[in-house]
Amino acid sequence: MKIFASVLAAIFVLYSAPRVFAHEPVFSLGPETIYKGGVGVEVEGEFDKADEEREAEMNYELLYGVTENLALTLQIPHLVEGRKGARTSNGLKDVTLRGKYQFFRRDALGIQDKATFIYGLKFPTGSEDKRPATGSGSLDHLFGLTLGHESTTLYGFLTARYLLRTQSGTREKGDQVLVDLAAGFRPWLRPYKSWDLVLLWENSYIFSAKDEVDDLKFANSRGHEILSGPTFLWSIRNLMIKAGIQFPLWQNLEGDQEERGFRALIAAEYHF
Amino acid sequence: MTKKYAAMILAFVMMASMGAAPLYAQIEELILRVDGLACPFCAFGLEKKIMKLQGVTSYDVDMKSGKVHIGLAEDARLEFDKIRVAVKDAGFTLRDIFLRARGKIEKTKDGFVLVVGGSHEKLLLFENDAVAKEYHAGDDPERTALSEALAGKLSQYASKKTEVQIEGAVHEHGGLPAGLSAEKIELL
Repeated sequence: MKIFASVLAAIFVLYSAPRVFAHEPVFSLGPETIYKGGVGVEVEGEFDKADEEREAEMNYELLYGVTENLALTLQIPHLVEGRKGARTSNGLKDVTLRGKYQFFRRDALGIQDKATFIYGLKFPTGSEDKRPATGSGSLDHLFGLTLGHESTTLYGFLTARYLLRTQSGTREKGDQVLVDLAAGFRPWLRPYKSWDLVLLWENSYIFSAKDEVDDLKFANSRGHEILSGPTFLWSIRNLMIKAGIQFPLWQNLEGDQEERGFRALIAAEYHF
Repeated sequence: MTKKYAAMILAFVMMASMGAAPLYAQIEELILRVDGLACPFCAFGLEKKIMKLQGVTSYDVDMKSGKVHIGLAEDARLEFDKIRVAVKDAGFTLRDIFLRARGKIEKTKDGFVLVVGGSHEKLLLFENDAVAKEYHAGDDPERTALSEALAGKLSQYASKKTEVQIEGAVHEHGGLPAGLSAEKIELL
């Protein structure tokens, strides 16, 4: 049962993990798409720590702009090291294919307001048998809505996501709700061909519902988390470096679940 | 001896290149007023799209004014539809197109035109504030689109075949050459 709890905790961390692109928040998704025919690649390193659990992973992402308001992202996560007490594991995690459709955009001088639908499919490509597990074993669906305001001076994002989990054998993980609010600013508006910096403060709320085994509710599951912390987006033309750290402001995890210490992320993104 | 031949070849190339200067000078710069340019990283997508257009040699953005400065080759043609599509595909909104061009004035049945580029592309000239006016079929374009003073000036330039530099906003017409509302005219 304890092993199962650790699997669930790992998955909990996994799906609260960010999927970043462009000027979207570091720990969330924003309404940004890419120009029609545009290709982007991103490599990100993420580190999570919760008492005796820690997880270091790399994410490799490929982005393609089908049109200026429809983008597809393939995300391949790789667990470099997952640790739970004395046990460690590594390997391919669950691959995600995600689409974003920007259904609203309002342009003004130096300002862009936009709203985007998100739909993602997470495939069971990781392993359930490893301890900690690198995959959930289930085909999960991600639905989201994200709103953003970007200007040459101010930034604001509000994103809500719902992760619908399906059954894997006799087990079914609880669905998740993720809500993110980020605000920031550009301290200096510099010339187009020189570097650019945006500073953000990102707040995340994560709720995970009860897991079930054979239709029985699993005690060591369900919980709420509120995380908060600073992030930055540094870019020069088509290269962006982004990083951030978030600490828990409040956690209410039921049963025997490790409380999160922090999560940190650094990523490099390049557009072709 | 080799140096002598090299000098002769160089002189020949220089003369040939001088002779190849276009009869009509070209559009020196195209400026797009684009809405939605909130970050340099996002503006790269527009750079990709614009640089793919034929004849474009340089690209820069003034983030504060939302103006995209585009350098054009001497023989570049103005293709408004392609510019419009490029901006749209990059995820922005095109508000205005400005240009700075050198050329000669010609009088046509539709009014005065600036002839630019090696392709002799024509831009129908308007007074700067004439763009907002209403026009009707049968209007005399000289009277409706130009003030008497400007029409007189252009008539003079046309008869003397003087080269001028004009800056202004471009607008499109159905069945007529694109319009250029002249904000600034300088004799060269």
